[in-house]
Amino acid sequence: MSDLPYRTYQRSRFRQRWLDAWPCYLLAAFAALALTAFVPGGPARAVLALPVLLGVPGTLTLGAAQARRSVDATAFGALAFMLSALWLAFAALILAVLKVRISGVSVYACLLLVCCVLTAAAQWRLRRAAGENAVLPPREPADMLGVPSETGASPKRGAWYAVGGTLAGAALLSGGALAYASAPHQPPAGYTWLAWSGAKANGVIPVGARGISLPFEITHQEPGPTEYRLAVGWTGDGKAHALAAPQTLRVGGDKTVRATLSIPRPPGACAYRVVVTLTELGTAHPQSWSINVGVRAAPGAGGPAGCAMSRPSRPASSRSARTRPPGARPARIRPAG
Amino acid sequence: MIVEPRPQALDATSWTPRHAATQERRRLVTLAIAACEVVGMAAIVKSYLIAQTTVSDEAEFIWFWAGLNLMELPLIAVIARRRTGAAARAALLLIIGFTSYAPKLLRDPGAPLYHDEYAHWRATYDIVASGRLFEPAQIVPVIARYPGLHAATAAIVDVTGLSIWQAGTILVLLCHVALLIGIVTLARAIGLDSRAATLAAVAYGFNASFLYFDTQFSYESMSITLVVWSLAAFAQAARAQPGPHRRAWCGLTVMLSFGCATTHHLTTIELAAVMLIVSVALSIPRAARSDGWRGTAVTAWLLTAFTLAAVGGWIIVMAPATVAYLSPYLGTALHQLTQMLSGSSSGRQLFSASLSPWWEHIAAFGVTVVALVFAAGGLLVRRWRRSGWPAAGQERALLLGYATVGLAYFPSTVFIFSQAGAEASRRSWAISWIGLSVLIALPAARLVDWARQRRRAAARWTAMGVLTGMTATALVGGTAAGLDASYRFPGPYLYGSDARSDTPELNAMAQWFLARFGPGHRTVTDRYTGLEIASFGLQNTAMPSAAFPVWDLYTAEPGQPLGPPLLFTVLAGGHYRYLVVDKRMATDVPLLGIYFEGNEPGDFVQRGGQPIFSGRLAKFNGVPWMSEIFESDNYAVYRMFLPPGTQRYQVRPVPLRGKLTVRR
Repeated sequence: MSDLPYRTYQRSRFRQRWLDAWPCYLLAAFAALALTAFVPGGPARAVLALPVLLGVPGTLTLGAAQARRSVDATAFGALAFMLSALWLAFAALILAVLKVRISGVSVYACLLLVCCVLTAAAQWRLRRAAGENAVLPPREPADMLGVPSETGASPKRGAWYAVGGTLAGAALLSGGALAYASAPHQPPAGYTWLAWSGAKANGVIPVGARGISLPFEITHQEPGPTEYRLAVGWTGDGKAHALAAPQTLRVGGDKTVRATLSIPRPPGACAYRVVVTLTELGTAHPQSWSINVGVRAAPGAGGPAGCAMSRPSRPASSRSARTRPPGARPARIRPAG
Repeated sequence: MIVEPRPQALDATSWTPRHAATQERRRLVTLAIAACEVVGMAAIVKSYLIAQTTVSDEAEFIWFWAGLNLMELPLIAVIARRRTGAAARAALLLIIGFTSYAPKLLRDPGAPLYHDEYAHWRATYDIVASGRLFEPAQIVPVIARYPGLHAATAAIVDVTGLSIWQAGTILVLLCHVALLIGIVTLARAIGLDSRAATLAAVAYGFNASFLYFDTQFSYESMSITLVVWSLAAFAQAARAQPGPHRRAWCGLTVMLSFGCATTHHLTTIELAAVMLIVSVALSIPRAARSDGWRGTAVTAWLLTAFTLAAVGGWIIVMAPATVAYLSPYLGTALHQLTQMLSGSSSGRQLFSASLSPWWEHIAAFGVTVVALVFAAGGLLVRRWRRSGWPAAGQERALLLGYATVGLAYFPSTVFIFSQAGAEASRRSWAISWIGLSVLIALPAARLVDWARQRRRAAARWTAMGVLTGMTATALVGGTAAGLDASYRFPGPYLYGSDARSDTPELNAMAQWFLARFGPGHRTVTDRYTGLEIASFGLQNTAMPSAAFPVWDLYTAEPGQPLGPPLLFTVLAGGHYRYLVVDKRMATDVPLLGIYFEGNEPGDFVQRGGQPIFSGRLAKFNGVPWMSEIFESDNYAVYRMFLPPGTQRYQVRPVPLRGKLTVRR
């Protein structure tokens, strides 16, 4: 029976077990990462998963490489993190080479396999070191790099200092971020938009005998209400022609208004450029917004005199690539650019 | 924080009032430092709140630097004390690491903001969404071939369920902290004691990239940490005795440097260059001769060869576009420098469009002077020969190698006067400061001792004051020499700035676009609108160039032909369907001086300061093959029907009546 007091005895037994089999414990911790799938995704799961995900693969790598004792606690933690982050990238590369889709499950499975291999290597090194020599070889680089005149905590306490520094730094950073987030901020600048909301048009829209409905929406993203004048017309001959009676509407703060423009089948085979214009009312410099679309009668209808039938598409150098307003006289053809 | 034998370790008889007073003083100092940290953080928050309301105000700079100095200087002072323990120094350095991330975290806590961050966010999104690597990347195409950061972030997103931005922020924050610890490990491997090594890490924090550039969600932020750890492992391998330890560190060097090659091109090339310099130093008999030095040199050369093979192999096999991406920077920079030297060009005017105050500009020059003084001091500490430290061997060779790397900083500052070289020069500092910080730390530790040993209080405080002033200058100037205030501080919208172009309106337009048309549409737009469209909008934006001059669409005068014809061939062949126009292009000159990309023609801003686009954007409403489908206060979205057809529009007035129905 040991002469050691019970608690000290228990502690030393646990320590011995830990030193003999720490890679296996870490592998078990990594395997247990699968359990975090039962926790809702987000910060709660991250708190549980990240220390394992960003710590275990790197630690096992250092164990497998027999470099675990070569650096102090802080450097060990930082290096273990970097190696773990690298393993995340390498796991994705391995999956890409194997043509396996990268997902939470596949990354986890790949890393678990990697951790198994690393654990086996680290455990083998531990046994070999214990078997070869009961006395551990002199701890090399960390001690080698130390300067005798230095003072400091014992290596055991170094880890706690690192944990303390990390917690203090993280607390300060989080505190700053929370303070900034909870402070009053400038309200964002408001805006208004006007946009088509119906089916996607792929060119000039053909209009059948029943006509067509063109839905659109007005979004007013500002705190207070604003009055607008909504007008619809079609352009031709450089002039705008009214298509429907204009309306005045009042849109409340942060509201979206839906509207529809119904058009009968236009006469002839010509296209009409239909323009919806929204104009702000009650301000010295009223702003206006507009959207437009081309419509024409569905094929089969005859066109009035003075309007040519539609022709097949031409290359980009054709005159239609020019910025000629609809209805304006055709400009002289010359090479673009 | 001060590490001394604890009172519990003393027996009752040795417990004296003197010990009690020491403990009391220690507690007070700890409390004072904690108060400095909290107040300093509050001052930084205050500076950002002020900055929100003004384009640029001196008060925001004063609050910011007061806060950062208040947070860092007391910690640096404790680190520099000889009596502080190694573990306590490491803890204090960790606090510096975390708190120095605060400026960037507060700058964009919820979403990407810098140019490259949008690109990396999108690249990570594509991996998460598609489950595949090497998908074509938007905004910065070359990043698709360097998936280290994106793959790691995507894995964290997949496993934890965090958002891409949250996962990326955590990853970059930890890399940022690990970077400082890596510098300490490297410096200790070179032979510095824990105090000088920690001071080297503190000095590294003064480089221009540390606070903002290398804390953004970008591949460089991860790879710079990998570079430092690769070098630390490389130095450990050189220092270790042949056998299992050396093999272990060689293995880690190989793994870290390969990881670096898969993460970022330029830093890996720089890593190989540093390893090359250090290998040369380890092969110089006069510096390196000691037991087994030939074996060490061979090891170093083998590791360097591996890194060169890794970077070369990755570029040749996986990322051949890297050469075309990087070469213009160096080529143009050298050309511009030659022109400057020959007098045919006046070069770049520093801080010409800067929003920061004059004293920041002076500090930016001051940091070079301070670095020069300390580097010279570091070289003068060559009295080691007399004191026998470091003796010829790996330590001396490593120190020689890193001193060479550090001294490269000074000639590289010349490139800052060249338009093209400025960027490359600034980016090289993150590497050259690794060596420079080691060089600076040597005299810094000695100067602190010298100052503390002055018998007269006035002399002691004066010396300490000068050292504190130099540290503060380096802290302010280092950052000021990096990024402009528009990147560093929040504030109102600034046209043509990468980091202040994001508005709720732009965001809403991008979301409307995505909701209405879905992802992946080829879209033509300007640089600043494109950042949002290509990232959160999930569209594929055009990459303007001389071969694909999309700016010609914008510059054409009303009534004049759009072109050239080749442009339409490319647009139609590439299935470009949408054109997004920022109407402010017609009135505003961009802060960065470019509307699309750096390779655009230089005459977009005319002599009177008037943009060439003035009066030329409304023409899109009249283009027969375009339809305006969206218009907000500042943006218009057009759908292009390419190739252009010849549909004729009605000319004569004809009776056509419709009906307008508004659902209220």
